[in-house]
Amino acid sequence: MALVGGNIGDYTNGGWSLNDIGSVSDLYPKAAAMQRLAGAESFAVFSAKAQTAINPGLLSVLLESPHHSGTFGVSDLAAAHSTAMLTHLWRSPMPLRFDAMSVEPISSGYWELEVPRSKNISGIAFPVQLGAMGNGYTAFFGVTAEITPDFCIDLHRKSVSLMREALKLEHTSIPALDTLSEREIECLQLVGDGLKSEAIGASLGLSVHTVNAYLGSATTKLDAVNRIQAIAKAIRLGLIS
Amino acid sequence: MDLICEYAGAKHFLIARYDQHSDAQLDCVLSSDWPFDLVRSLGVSLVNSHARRSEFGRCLAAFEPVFIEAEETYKMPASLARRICLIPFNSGEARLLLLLIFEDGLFLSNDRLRDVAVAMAYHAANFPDFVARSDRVADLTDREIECLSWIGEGKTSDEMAMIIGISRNTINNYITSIMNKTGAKTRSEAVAFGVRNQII
Repeated sequence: MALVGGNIGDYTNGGWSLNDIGSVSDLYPKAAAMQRLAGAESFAVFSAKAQTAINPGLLSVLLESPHHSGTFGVSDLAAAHSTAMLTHLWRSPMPLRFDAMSVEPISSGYWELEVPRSKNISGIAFPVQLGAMGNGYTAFFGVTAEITPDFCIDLHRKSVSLMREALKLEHTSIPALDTLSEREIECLQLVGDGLKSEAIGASLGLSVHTVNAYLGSATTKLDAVNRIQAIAKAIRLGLIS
Repeated sequence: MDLICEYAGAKHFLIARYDQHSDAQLDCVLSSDWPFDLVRSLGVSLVNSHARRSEFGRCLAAFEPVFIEAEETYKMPASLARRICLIPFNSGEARLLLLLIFEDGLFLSNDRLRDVAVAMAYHAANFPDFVARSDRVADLTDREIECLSWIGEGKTSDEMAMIIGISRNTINNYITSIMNKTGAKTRSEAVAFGVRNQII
């Protein structure tokens, strides 16, 4: 399993560039406030990429706070449990508690959420699944606050809004969004609906060559190798439905 | 469910799954104690309009309550407010929608409703049958999904043959089979289907 630890710059395909690091770190105070609420020693925010047939899933760090060396920290968590955390993310919204050895849901159902206070809880992680994009975890290390249902829901709600903010920041930093013209988007939409260039030309009142030119420029702007990949990217970005 | 409703201060609830629904059918509604004719008219139309949003829009809307004013054409019982709260949430593989109706003249806290969204997601995870992967995805074999993923990355048949290590004709057979199963006329449409249904 490939793992990227602590480096936003490694996130080449997701639309990050050097300029964005500043904007994502604007979320730092929010995460730090959650850390204080949890009485935790440190925190980390992960972004998750889904596992597909050709792609192993990926958990990369968006934000992290400094932590005491020698304790179980961000890179240890990613190294030890990223596979289990990725599987869990698309299966259940239940928060996870983790330590160096194990990672498990804090309980099986919300209304039975009664966690025995034990000293060995090293941390708690909240899965956030917004959809095709904006998925990940917020993790808190060395939690000292009492873990009650209200506590969980409160932090989980804040985790969700944190991931939503991160998604918005990521999305506004994609240059193609501003530069694609209406005609280009129209043509892409029709290609996605299964029309060939001739049919698109007929329905928009354009010649085949014009349609192909629009699709060609859209493909370039989306940094895709051909129109099929352009379609996939455009749908993932929400440019077309 | 009663507990959650009480916490939200809601009078009636409706839960629907919108990621695998075919237009205007009642079977997307999982559970509800709305008056039935309201479910059939207003409920279904709200679910439909949410299902038509783009994927990015849905991602931003997830776990975020919004209020919608029901139009005059829908007959609401007298004591209930026309403002309906709509909260999309995700649990497991499922995309769900919680619709709440309140009594008239109530003031609501958005944070409290966001808490409800999280609690609902926890609660829904207790019903694995409801949040399992949608059936349409299961039609494609692993190999076909692998092929479709590579097409979505912009690879040609020849390139895929190199990558997977099987012949070009076999690849083309897989692709024909994908297009048959998804009902797509072109490769672009097949990829669009895959992305829309979160197969690739």
